[in-house]
Amino acid sequence: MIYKVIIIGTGPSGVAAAFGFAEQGIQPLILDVGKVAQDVTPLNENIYDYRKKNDAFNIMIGKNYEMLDHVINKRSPSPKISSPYMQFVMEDAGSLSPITETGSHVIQSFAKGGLASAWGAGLYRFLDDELINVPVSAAELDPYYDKLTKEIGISGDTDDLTPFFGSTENLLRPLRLSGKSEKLYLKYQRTRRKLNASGIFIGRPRLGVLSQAYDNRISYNYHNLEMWFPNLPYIYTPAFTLEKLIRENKVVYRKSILAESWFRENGHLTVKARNLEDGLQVTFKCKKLVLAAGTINSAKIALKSKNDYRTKLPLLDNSLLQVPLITPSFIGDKLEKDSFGLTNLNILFDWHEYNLRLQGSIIELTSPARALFYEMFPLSARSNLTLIKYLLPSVSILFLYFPGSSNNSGYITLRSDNTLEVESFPCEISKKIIQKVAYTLLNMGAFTHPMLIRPPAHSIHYAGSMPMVENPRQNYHCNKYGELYGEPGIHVVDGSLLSYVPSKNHSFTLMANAMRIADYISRTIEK
Amino acid sequence: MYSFNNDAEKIYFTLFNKSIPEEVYHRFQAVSKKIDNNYPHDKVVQYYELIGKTDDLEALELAARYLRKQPLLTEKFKLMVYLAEIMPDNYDVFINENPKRFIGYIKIIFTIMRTVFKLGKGLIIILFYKL
Repeated sequence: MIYKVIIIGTGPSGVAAAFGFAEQGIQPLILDVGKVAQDVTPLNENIYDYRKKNDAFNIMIGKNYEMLDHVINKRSPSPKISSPYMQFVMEDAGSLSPITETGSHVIQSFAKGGLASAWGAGLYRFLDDELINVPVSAAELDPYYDKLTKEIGISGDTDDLTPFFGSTENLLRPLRLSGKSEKLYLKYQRTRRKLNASGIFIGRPRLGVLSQAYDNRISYNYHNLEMWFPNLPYIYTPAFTLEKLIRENKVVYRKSILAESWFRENGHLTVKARNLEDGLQVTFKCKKLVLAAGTINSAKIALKSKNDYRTKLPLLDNSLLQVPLITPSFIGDKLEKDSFGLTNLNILFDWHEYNLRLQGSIIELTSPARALFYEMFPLSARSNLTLIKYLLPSVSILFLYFPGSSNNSGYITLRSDNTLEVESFPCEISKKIIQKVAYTLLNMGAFTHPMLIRPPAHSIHYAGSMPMVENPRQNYHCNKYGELYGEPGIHVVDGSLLSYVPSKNHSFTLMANAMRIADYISRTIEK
Repeated sequence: MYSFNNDAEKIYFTLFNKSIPEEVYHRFQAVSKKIDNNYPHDKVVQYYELIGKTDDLEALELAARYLRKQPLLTEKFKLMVYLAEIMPDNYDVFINENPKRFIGYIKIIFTIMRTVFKLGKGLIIILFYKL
């Protein structure tokens, strides 16, 4: 059988492409490794209330001590991915796609829904000045952003960040703010004129988290389970849309298939893959192939298909600065255990004098294990426990993202033994910027100090390996529709396409762009 | 002489001033050996000897952490905190459910002073045992 379209991967881009094809009446075949979470029912009470009465070993440590992997094996993925029931997100990634890495730790996922199965659900539109070096305008993406907004159910508000975040049409009301965030927001609103003049804006995040029941899904219940349980109905993941498409027979889904390369024969494309259930090679034929395996794995498939063991493809990411914020009036206060444990507010530093626009997310620290903070505090063991109890309720954290571009990119190359070689380092951040951020926050009543800020890390917003350009003239460059140069019928739709990642989560833009490309392919494909 | 079994009890007592529950003890032992395997044998032996000899483990751990000596001891403390936090009996140690703003400030000031004292004591212990 020759499929019209095959999609490789079920992360945000792959699922958005499938959603786009389904809208156009094309039923694609989706190839996916498709790791899924173990069957676990989320608690129907707040995790802290549960912990008061129960040994939380299975939830917070795991039967195989998964949560302690960073202590035992010195690995350091994000706490959310480390949590026991979230292990499926990275399950077998190291053996399915071996990597030797220099610099930052590279995170891959072969889960159904991809890395988005454990994401923070931030969904932001790009502005024209953020779509740098790509032949696509924000206006071209708008209709797809709008459709996805309806599909996902995005909470947000009309506020000072609206000019940076785009249309508020069809947004659900924002989630409730934590006490500390509310205080910061009030302080901002009292001094906004002065702050805005200095290029500082604060507002509510755009999140794929339901503030009200939507599309047969319940609203967020403030139970603080987001760190610990997968597939919570109120936090969107692409797997939700995928399940719906499968149920409605709008896609053909094949799991346990690891796509490895493509080749051409008799006028069609053939995908060479491994069936992970029996280890045998399998092939699938199609007219159009959509690569949505994620920036790193799509690059690997392309390099492998061309038997190219020399080319170094770029790898971009947002460098991330984690800035702890102490709100002194909350020292000694009770832990706000029913606050939303992800992004409460967004802050934007639009500093023309540095030619820099930075977006940050202010996050509550209620979700992770308290023990995580024990190792961050510098006092003696018992004193650290005192800080956990009395200081931690006053602390939130600002995740501040820095743009990624070819000036600070890493690279990906494929070795002949099929191992990927990845080098990537977070960008260097000037002390002046860090001091200015700290000073600004201090003026809003949130104490921080450059000494409390940890060195920059990576944010897992990978991009840039096969960029989309106006007139592609070299291998691994794509045209406006993601079609690889010299490879008719092969379309890339994931993060690979962006040659610049602004200081903004790119998932929503990748989804909208994938839908746009699916739309184009649908129009051009021989029906 | 050293024993491979008493570190759990001593660390737990140092942190929480009470005896270690059986579940926590077994869980600690299950992971502890894996962590030991990350270190050269002589460092592991030194660790267990120190556990046996030192009364004020908190002071020793703090000073060792600051001087980047005996990281195994720091890791075992970290491990114990993770395993202890999940027990309902320790809920009140980690979670403040009643606003105590004034007390909170006082406790934090006291705790900083305590750390200074413990650091001094820990440095003396390290000098004494020639770590």
